[in-house]
Amino acid sequence: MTSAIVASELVRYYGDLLAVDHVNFEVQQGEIFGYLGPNGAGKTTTIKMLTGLLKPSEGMARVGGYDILRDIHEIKGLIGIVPEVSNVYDELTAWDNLIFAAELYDVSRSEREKRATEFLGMFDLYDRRDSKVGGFSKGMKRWLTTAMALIHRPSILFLDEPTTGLDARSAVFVRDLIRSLNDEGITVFLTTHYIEEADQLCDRVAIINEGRIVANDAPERLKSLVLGVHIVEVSFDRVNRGVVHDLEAISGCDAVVKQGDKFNLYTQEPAEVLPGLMGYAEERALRVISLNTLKPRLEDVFLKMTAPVGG
Amino acid sequence: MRRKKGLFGRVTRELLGAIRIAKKDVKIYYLKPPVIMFGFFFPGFTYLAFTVGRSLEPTLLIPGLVAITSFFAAGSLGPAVLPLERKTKTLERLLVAPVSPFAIILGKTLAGFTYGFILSLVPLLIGAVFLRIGIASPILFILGLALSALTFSAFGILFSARAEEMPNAMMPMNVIRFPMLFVSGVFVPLATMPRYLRAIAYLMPLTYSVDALRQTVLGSLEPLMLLRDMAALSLFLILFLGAATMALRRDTR
Repeated sequence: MTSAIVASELVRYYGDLLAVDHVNFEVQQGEIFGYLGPNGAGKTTTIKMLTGLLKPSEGMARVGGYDILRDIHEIKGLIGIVPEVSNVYDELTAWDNLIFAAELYDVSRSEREKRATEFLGMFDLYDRRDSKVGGFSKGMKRWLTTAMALIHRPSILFLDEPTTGLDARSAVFVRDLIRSLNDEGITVFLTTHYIEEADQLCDRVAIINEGRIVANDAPERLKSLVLGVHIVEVSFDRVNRGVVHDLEAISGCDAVVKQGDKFNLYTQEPAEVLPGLMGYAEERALRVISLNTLKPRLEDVFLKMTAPVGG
Repeated sequence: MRRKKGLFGRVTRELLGAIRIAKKDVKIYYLKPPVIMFGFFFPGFTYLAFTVGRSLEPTLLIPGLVAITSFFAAGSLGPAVLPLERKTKTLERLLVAPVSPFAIILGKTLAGFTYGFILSLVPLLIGAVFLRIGIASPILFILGLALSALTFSAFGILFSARAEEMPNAMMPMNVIRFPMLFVSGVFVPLATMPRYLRAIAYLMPLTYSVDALRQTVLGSLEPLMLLRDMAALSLFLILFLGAATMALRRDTR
């Protein structure tokens, strides 16, 4: 398998601020690669360097086999970009936006119209093709931005937070779309805040924090980094005051996190926690509604890897 | 994507990219308020302010009015286009596409040129219909007007290439535009100006535009002077395009 993207010791400063700090990773052709990190971690800066919007302060990278400093013009023809902000022309119609995007990438006249029709149909925008985009909803603008990124049939697609701000149905549609594009052979580089999204979609995930990559592996292998940690998830028929504090006092329980009407008890020894938990429920006359032991999630890896030092 | 190889292919691709960007900009921005204001009303009112009650020769004034219409109309598209494109991140769309920063700047310049050239024909038509003014050398006139509109458009693009907001482009540009209007010989003949003002006038592209258009309308052609005007305008055009491209390149540094 050959590499679609190789980043080698990439560094980017904004003035004195070090935004990306000696980042190394490799994305194989045909892979969905997740780039995870908290806000301001350096995700968008990395994408900007790989797509020619910013020059690295140090280091190098290759995209589609081309050097980002020497051959950026060739790279631009190979890639499609869906930025975090939908950058469509509000004053133009959906059709004109797509045709302009195709023209920018020198798609032939006959192909332009064929593909614009195809993508408008695919994103359910065909009936609105002659409407100005200014009146479109956030979701519709997102579809159009995605269609504009695909119209020249790129072999590598960069998606910066593709589901942020979308409703649940739209987010599911985007995830299905990413899978089907990947099935067609498109390499996907995806940044996201949503850990579950990366877990469901990505072949490999890199976690970036404060400009540095702190983990880079397949999601399941990353989860093994927190393998010693077990989670006992419990819910009661009612919630008493101070329950988190009480649960933390159970022998063997390291931490408790309340998630909705459930409590997650983090422990190294579930067998030690369970009798204590049952005893607590009986003592307080609480009925246990559900009780599960969970495997570590990518979220736990993320939290562990991005936790402040000493935190 | 079709890839044309070699230098010819590259030049064709860049030129096509520029024309496509220009076409899109003309479609989007031709009715934007600053473009209408500075392209249409402002030159008209300025003209009236300086001519009403003065016995100035229409054959001298109409070419001047054509020049300032072109100057304000072509130069106003840049401040209306580029800061907005930067704000809405559509400029990023252009910067990540396989077109060079020069092609982007050229495209925006061509959009301003189209607008400036077309609006400049309005005072010309008024002059022809109401004042019976003819053009002695129409081809040279068209050439002079086209070069002027291109140069003035590039001037506006240069001031907008780094601006985040429209006033950030418009204000510094107007600081130069307005004095330029008064020393370029549109309303006050250069010959009657003090020497230092005349020296300043020759640093301004509008001076050469006014002179070239007057010569071609009046038919009082002085080939060397006309050549000087065209050469000066071309030089300003290259300078503005180059500086604007360099300014835009800073977006990707």
